[in-house]
Amino acid sequence: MSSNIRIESIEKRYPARGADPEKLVLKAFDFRIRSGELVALVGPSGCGKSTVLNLIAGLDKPTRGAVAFDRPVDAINLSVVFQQPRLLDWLSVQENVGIVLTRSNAALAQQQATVRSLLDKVELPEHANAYPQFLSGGQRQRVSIARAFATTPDVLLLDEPFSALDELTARRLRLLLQSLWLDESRQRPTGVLVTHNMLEAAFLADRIVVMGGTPAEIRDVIQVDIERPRHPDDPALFEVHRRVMEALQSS
Amino acid sequence: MDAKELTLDVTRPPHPERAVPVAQRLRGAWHRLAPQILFFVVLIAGWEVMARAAHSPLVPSSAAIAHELVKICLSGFAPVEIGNTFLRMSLGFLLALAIALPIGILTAVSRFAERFFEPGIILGLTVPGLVWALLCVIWFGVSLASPVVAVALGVLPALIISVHQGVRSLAHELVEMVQVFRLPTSIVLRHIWLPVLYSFIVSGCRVGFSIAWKVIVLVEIFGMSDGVGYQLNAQFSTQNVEGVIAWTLSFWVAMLLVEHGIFQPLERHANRWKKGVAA
Repeated sequence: MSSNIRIESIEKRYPARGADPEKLVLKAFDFRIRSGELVALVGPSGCGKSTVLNLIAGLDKPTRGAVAFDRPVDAINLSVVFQQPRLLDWLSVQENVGIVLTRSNAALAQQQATVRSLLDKVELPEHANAYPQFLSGGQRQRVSIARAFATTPDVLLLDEPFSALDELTARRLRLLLQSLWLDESRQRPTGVLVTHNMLEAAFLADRIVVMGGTPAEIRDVIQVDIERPRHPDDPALFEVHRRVMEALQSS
Repeated sequence: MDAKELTLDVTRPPHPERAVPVAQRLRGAWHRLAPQILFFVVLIAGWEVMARAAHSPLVPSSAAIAHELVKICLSGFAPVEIGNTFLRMSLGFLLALAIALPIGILTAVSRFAERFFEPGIILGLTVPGLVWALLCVIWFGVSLASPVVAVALGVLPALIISVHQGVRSLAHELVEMVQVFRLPTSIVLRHIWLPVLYSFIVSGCRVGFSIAWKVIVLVEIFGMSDGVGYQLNAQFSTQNVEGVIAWTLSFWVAMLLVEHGIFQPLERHANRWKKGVAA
């Protein structure tokens, strides 16, 4: 079951290291993400987007404040699609997808069926036995997306998932992600997308949070009221893109 | 059903070599072996030229060496003595591996442990095998403990470094992935740590085995009444140069068999997922 995410008065400081002074990245940062919604965080490099994502993922701890879900964090099923696919090179494609199911209590046959179904959805069934090093960058990221959806996540975090790919591949994967997001047969998670691509944010997100400043603050929150499924060439996306750019430039 | 006993065996990836036709595999084998055969031809020819030029019992002919080699092999003497030496080496090696695994992992995950063990590792790398051999013979006398401990001490630093590097090679990004997906410890050990360490341990073992051979020979010379080292010493005492060379060659052949029969297949298996290797 997807969950609301409450980012409550978070402060994040990185201690001084060597010649680098202490860095205050977030101060009294507050935000709510509604259950089942996909929110994109955009902003200039170093503005704290990835810090917010890491705090939600539990990969980092806030100096003050908290990230809260509807249930205790251990009861939240969390998945991440990283910028790099982060696959285990010595496991086959299906093993890479299946490994995240090992924490579930599902029967083996059911786990296998889930893996097969996801590999069908990401159009890699013929590569089920291949090792990741034998796949292209786009194919590897598709495996990573399949892995993220395998556990039917409550919260899905997307950390610049397509930024390392060529634009044509990225466009295909955005469409793939949208189709998985809209798949009625699966529970829709609460999503957080970090991206530098404003059109990508407009295409995928329900709301776009424009961040800026040091320490980071929310400059604007833009509602994307475009009906899904969206088309990547929809002129309405460019209008959203223009508003995001305006918000960024005004900051 | 134990959910931890995953899935992951659904279908193992096919071994790349299985798909290659027999003729192509034979051609490949010939291309690999031809330079090595050429090496032996050049070596034997060069030796023969030297022997004829020297015309001395100190440089015996290839035929005399071959005769001695065949004699010790067919009599069953060489296999038994090589077996003794291998048994001692293997025991010492296993002891070293059992110690190297926890220390290597510890030094990779703890800065304190790394600094603590560093002088010991450098000491181990610096001390010649001869010193370990002498000390162990003094301490343990003519017993199995001498070669086993000497080999373990000689091999330990190389193995610790291999394990250390293996653990360090696991990228921080993968550790984060494991953390986010909350993978069970048993799965992390079996499907992440073990495969990562596997290839490093195999290459460490290859290096370690060559070090072990140099140590075991010395221990057998100084303190044992059998084994290849003892036989080398016996042949040396009687100035039987053919014997010294034949025993050396017999052990070399045994090491080649270990290399091609154990280490290389293990290494291919450990690296089967690497693009360059499989291709």
